[in-house]
Amino acid sequence: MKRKLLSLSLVAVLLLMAAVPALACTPLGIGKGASEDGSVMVSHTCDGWYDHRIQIVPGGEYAPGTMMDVYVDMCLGTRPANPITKVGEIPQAEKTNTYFHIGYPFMNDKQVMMGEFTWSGREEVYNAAGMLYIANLEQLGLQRGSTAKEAVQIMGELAEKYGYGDGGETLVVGDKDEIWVFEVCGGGLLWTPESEQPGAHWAAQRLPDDEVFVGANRARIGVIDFEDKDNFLVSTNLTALPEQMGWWKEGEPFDFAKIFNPVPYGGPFYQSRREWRAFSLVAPSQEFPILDEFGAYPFSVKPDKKLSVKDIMNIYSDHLEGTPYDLTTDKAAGPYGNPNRWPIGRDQKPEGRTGQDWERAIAMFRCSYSFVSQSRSWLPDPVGGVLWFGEDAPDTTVYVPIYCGVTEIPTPWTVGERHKFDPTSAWWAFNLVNNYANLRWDAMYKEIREKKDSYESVFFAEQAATEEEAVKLFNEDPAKAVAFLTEKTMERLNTVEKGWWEFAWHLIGKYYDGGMINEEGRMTSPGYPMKYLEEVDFGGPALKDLEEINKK
Amino acid sequence: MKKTALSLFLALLVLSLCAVAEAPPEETKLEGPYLVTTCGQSPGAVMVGMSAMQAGAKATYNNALTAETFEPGEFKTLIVTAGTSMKGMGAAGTDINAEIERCLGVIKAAREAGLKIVGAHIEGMARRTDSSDAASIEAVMAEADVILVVTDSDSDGFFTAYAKEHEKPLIVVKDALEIGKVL
Repeated sequence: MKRKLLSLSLVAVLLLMAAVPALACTPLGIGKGASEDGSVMVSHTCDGWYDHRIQIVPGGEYAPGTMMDVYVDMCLGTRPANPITKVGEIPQAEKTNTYFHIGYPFMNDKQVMMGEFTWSGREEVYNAAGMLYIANLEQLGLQRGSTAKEAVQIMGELAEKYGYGDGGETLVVGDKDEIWVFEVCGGGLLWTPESEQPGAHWAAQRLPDDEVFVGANRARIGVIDFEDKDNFLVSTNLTALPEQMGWWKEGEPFDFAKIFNPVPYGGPFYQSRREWRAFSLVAPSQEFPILDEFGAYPFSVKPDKKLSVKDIMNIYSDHLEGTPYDLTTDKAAGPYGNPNRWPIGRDQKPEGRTGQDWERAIAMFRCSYSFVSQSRSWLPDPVGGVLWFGEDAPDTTVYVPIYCGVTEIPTPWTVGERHKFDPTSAWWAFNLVNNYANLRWDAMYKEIREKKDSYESVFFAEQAATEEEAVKLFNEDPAKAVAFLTEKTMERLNTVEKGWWEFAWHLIGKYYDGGMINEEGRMTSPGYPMKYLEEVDFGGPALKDLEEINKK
Repeated sequence: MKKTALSLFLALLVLSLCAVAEAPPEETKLEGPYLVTTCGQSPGAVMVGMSAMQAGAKATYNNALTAETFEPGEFKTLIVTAGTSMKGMGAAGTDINAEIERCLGVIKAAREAGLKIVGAHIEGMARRTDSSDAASIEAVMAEADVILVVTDSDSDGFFTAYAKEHEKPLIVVKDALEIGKVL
């Protein structure tokens, strides 16, 4: 019977995986007391083919009765096979914030930031009649919310009112003071807009200020303390359906993750490995145990030392180096220590291992974009909110600071087809470099990291002076600060975009045909590591033939 | 007095007529516990199961049920929902032919075990769009002792005509939420 239930659960999970697109992100939240400078930090790796184009959507004022269109599924922009369609209208707010739109909208001009990951959850709570998807909720939360908590409440209320049609999702929502982790899934298969029942189940938990949260494709909010209104927010009738369905009984602890996401998708360590790795990197002293998909790590942990933006960027470049799961040293890494592992279909896996997968590092080649944000209460909003943005994979990207007060982004960062090569788009420069590095990962990755650092180190070094100048201008006239930061951000984005194309051409001209062009213009042959040559029996067949010939 | 007696008589008559009208015919009476599966991996079976459970009926849904794994236990009725999901079948690694074969096997085993067979279509016209949907409906309804549909699924009268032609009892409910009321 247990086996039957497990099979059923697996089928349910597979069904939801087929229905839900966002499958592999790793966001973090860092409370103001856990960061080096008191910033509240939110981060996100958007792992998969999702819209990488940044659009600034200006805030506005609207007459009562104005309606706004709702489009689904906005995160899939750039996919010709998944056209975005209008699914309805809802009343527009009388006043909206400026927000930054992308696959998963991530920032507004009030320093509110959002990171995202998918967990899908039970098929029983999914409902196709729900109008709003997670990207819609983010858009609405950023447009209408001026704090993280307010954004969470707005998203929750709208999801209940209009129905939530997406799979289970988590958002890490931060502002200049605090972080809330918001988890949402549908109202149930039987929900209809006419039912007058809430169209979503959701809960939110406040992150302790001195702690760090990580999520990776399974729900993370555990037992809810319904009495603790300071640290938990929940949807209307949250317990009703779980009780009716026998998932929970009155008197038992209400474990949100176990109730709504009892069987996380992916292999047994697809989610837990990344949670383990991120927590182990920020708090190695706690020696976290290895847990599979059914074992839960704490919601958040206190880091051994306070964290910087750079620390989070480094976590995002992790390939499990130095662990038993190191993707750069196992056999599949090949001769050049390549951590990238292409996806494998279930019918392509060896017998007895169809439920397994490659080890999953935090750094992922198929990432569309990633960011690390800072929200700072001691700075005026246009300066205090800054999002370090990188296109494509986090380990080979360059993070460029984009202030939440800017009013323009250079065109190459706002465009780009993805189903064909598009040289007008910055994204393709980063994707080209990342893909080209697969030719000779050990040599090129080192060079890429040096080049990446050559930009980022300058941005870090200039940050204090840039912000000091911006604050000075803000005190004279906020518009001057906005103009200054816009110009500075545009200049940096343009420099990086042009520089990265040049760098791509440089790599192509330097590494080809198994060789490497040196400084004198000569082709050198780095060859293969000796260990690898021994493992692949270099020269073996020839020696065997020679042995046979010499016998004669 | 006469007027009162007449009124009382009329009231009793109306009440008894109502009772007759509301009592479901014997042939459409369904008895739990219910075992539910889908022929096409759409969410229909789960919806039926949820509606039943929310109405207090005992129901178990299993989209991977086969004749081999079928155990009659206390089940009195097997409900098979028709209508297909290409995504669902893809994710479950199956197709419409395999689904029909699986369901016909389950129906045979259930019938042999004395269960009543209900063929259901409860996801509306959205699950009556292509040849896979048609094949699923045809296979399931042909084996059904009773047909259960929601109003939207029968909006063109297809199931009414089918039930009449094949002399099968038909239960029509407003929507998926209402299914629990007839279980």
